[in-house]
Amino acid sequence: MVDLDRFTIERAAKGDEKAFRKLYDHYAPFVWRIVYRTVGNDRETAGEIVQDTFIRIHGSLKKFSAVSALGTWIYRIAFNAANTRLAKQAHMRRTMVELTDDVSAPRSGGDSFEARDLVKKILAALDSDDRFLLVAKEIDGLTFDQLAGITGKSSESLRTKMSRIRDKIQAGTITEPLLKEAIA
Amino acid sequence: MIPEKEFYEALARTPELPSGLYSRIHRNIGRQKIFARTLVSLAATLVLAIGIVAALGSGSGNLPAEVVSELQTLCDYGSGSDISTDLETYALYDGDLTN
Repeated sequence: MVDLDRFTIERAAKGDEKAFRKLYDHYAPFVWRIVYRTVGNDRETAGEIVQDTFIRIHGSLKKFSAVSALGTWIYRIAFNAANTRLAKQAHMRRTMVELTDDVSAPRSGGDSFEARDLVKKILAALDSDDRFLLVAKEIDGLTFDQLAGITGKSSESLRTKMSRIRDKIQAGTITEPLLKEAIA
Repeated sequence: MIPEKEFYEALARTPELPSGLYSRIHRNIGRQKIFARTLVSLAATLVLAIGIVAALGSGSGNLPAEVVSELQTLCDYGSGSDISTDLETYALYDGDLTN
């Protein structure tokens, strides 16, 4: 994720509504995607968390000190907002239960039923923190150091978690080397 | 079994960001601002009221009558009295009301 230009960020921090809208348009898709997966494909809850996140961003932007990149700061707010919301729905944390079906991910040129089913199964086997980690690391490309800053956990513990998550994924998929071997 | 790459592609594909979210965020932020301003107005009114009570209680002779009157007016505005009515009244006193 590329960060927004400094000028827009500064204007948004000063209360410029157009600049804040630009900030929202830039970061909201990333926040939506990671939050949607973190809460287990629940559109309504994800929407509420995205709202909470950007309301908090608006209130705190003046205090943003640029020690970390804005994107990383936003991820941290989203992570905390998700945890706050999910804590209120405590049953979702233990979610070995059925996740909501991913009903509106595009089909054309996209995922097979098997792929969507596997995503659902894998996510169901993870708690919300692990789902957040999975998307942030494997889809959004954050480093373990960035994730440590976001989650408050050590890089080492995150590496261990990620390794276990990858094992689960590999148990349900064919990895590239094996696929190439099979084709050859 | 599917290729691992396909799994990650499916994971990355989520529904579109809902379109009405920004307007809801904007509305919430607006409400928060109004709430904050209301709190500040109430606090200012309270401070003024305490000031007036203290001033009046210690003997109105300690403050000029005009000052006491102005403090009272400020307190009234803080409580939401109609500024336009008062402006018209003052204009009439000064002979400036031309209609």
